[in-house]
Amino acid sequence: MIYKGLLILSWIYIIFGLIGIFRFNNMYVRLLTSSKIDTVATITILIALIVKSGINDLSLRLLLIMIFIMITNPVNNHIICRSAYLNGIRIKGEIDK
Amino acid sequence: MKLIKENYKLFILLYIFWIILTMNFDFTNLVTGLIISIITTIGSNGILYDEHGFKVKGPKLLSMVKFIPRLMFEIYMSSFSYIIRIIKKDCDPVFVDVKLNTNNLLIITIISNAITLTPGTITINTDKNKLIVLSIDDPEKKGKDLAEEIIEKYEKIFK
Repeated sequence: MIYKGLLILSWIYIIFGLIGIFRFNNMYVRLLTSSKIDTVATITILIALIVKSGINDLSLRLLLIMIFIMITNPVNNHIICRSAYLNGIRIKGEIDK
Repeated sequence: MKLIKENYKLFILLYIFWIILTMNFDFTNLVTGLIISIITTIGSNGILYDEHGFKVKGPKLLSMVKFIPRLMFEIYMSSFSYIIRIIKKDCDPVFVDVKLNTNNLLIITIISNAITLTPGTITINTDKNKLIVLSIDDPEKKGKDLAEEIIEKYEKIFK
């Protein structure tokens, strides 16, 4: 029952993330929104799967994957955002478009 | 072989990670894991550690135990507030300069990683202990308050 609730919560995150990506015009806000799907939705799905599988080797592996994602996932968003920042894309200019 | 001897802890950790993740005790799988762990240990020489051992001093275990629940709480709290912002279409991004008090590289990395994990904030650049963070502007708070909020959330745990 709990895992179903968590899966529904992750769908809500994904749906609102997708709406946000199409709703905003600014590149930086789109990045902020897409990073939300990457992190929160993924973590929630993995927690739901851990709850579903109970205490066994599969849940241990899922926990390891979750830790791995929590360490490596922000690097993607950071690199995309940093390259935009270093290439001179400014926040104000983006809003004016 | 000398490099492996110098940093056998990393090698063992990587090999255990491989075995748990694959859960396959075939000879081919074990050898593949061994080779990949050796390559990774040798490849990370100079990045993570040098001849004197690990380059950075890790935070205390107790601080990490306190930090992880705090991080999960912050991730979920800010994800809900971000959903409200998406519905209202109220998102003005702003760059905030955050000056951390620590000079420990590992703690700076952990904090900037946590900032990026939290919905609504992304670490863009670092210059020693100064972080440039992309955040969402709040009319009630000014830039300084946003920076103080970030320090309050994460850095105080590592003190």
